[in-house]
Amino acid sequence: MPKTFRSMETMEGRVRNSVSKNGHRLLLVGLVCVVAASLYIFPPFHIVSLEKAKRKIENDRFSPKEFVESLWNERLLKSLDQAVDAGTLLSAIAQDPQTAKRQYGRQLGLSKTYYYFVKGQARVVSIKPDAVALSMSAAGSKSDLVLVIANISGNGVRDGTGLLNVSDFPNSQEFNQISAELNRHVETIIVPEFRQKVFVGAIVAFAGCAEIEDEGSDLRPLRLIPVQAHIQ
Amino acid sequence: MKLKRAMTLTLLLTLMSSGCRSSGPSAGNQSESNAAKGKVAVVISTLNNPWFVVLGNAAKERAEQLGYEAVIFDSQNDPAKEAAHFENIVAGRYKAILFNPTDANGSVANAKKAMAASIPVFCMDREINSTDAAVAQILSDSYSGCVALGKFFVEQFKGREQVKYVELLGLSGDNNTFNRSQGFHSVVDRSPEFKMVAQQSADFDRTKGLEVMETILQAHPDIDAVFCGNDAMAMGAYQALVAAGKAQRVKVFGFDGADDVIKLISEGKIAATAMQFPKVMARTAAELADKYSGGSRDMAKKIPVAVEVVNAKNVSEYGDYGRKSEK
Repeated sequence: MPKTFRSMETMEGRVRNSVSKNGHRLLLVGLVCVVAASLYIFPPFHIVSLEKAKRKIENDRFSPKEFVESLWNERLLKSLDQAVDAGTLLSAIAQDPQTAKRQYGRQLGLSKTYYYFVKGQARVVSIKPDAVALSMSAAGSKSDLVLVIANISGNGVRDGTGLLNVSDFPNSQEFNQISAELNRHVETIIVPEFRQKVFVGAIVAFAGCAEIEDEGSDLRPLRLIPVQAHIQ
Repeated sequence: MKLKRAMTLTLLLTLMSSGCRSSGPSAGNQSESNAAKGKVAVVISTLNNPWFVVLGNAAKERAEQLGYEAVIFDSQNDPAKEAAHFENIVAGRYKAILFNPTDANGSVANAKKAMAASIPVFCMDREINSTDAAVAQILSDSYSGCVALGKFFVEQFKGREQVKYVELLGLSGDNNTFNRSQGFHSVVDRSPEFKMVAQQSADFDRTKGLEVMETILQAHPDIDAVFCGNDAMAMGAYQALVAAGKAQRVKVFGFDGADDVIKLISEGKIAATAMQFPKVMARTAAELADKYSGGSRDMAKKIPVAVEVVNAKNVSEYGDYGRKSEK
């Protein structure tokens, strides 16, 4: 084969090789671009500052205060008409506590403790640092009901109103935090205003919850945690 | 030749099955009865605490009374062991699981796996943080129990200007730990005379309760009381106080209603505990599982069981993990 033809063939081969290499390079660059774009659009992880992460955890955390504010204003105050009339309940208890419990009481799970959600109007007969005694009758000093105005503990408001169901809460700690927050709401919002205005002889329009731990408890007077107490 | 092969195969199978039994459920817990209704798994967080042994045995006993073969699995407070048990239970086509979980969050996946395999799960005493990973959860109302215990605690120191106390917490993965602590503090923290000088976890364990209490006593030798999230820790704390010569001075409060603590309350050595009712919870779980198996679906997702304070005044009414009158 003449030398000229041989060198032409070699050149052609070099050109072909070069084109093929460039093609591979282009393909590689394209691929890298696609992967980079994909990672940019759909990043496999995010880097966030520790501060931002802490803020997110804080925001996601259940807030009993916010829950109770919303519950109180949007549901609890609107549910007062579901409470049993105090006169009706006291008469029923006087006749037969067991029947009254079945008819007007509320129980949670397997427990002896039961609750009443009560409303009515009554006259103030005495005021102590921790309680205001009320009488359903127009005269006399015997108290039928007592509104607690001291530290409040237990689940009277949470379970007495019947607005919340433990089965709706994946974590019972949140359910219990609500109880503590409801008690705090009564102590800081309801009680101070009532305590300031109440006087012996005043007529009080009230709604409240009774928590009865023992079937043998003396229910006269019936102790209520007030959720509403206005002087008429 | 064929006979020889058959004999070898039979021997191998026998050996394999006996090996599986000893490495799987706790030895001696497998029911030998002819269960007409199928098998029920009783998965318990730990059998290292007598209270949980009572819970497991009561669930097993009630399931057997209802016509099931019941097998107890001990998770030894290890979520990995619990997961392995669930794998075996799903593969073994059990009819139901009576479940005392190791971790409120960590155990959810196990329960969901069983439910996905159409094996209903019924939690006992310990909660899982989900409303759809179990058919029902029968749980002690630890919060309310500790509200009552907190009130009794405050009464014991009436008139004192300052009361220094220690709190021993349980496992951090168990909601009961925090429900008990929150219930107690919702009452005690209202009285400024009470000062908590130390709060540490002892994992619901008696030995750890002893060790933690020994360490705390070195830093705070002048404490007046110890509130423990369970009776095992209360026993450990009491032992530490006896060793330090302070058992007379420091009041110990537990939670569970374990027999050894009930005995010490009756002897005036421990101030109080809160009686949970493990037998009631276990029996209820077994009965609900049976109802579910029979087609009933009308069940509350969470069923709180009341807890009662036991002290020197009423201790004679309690024993054997419950009320004497309600056996």
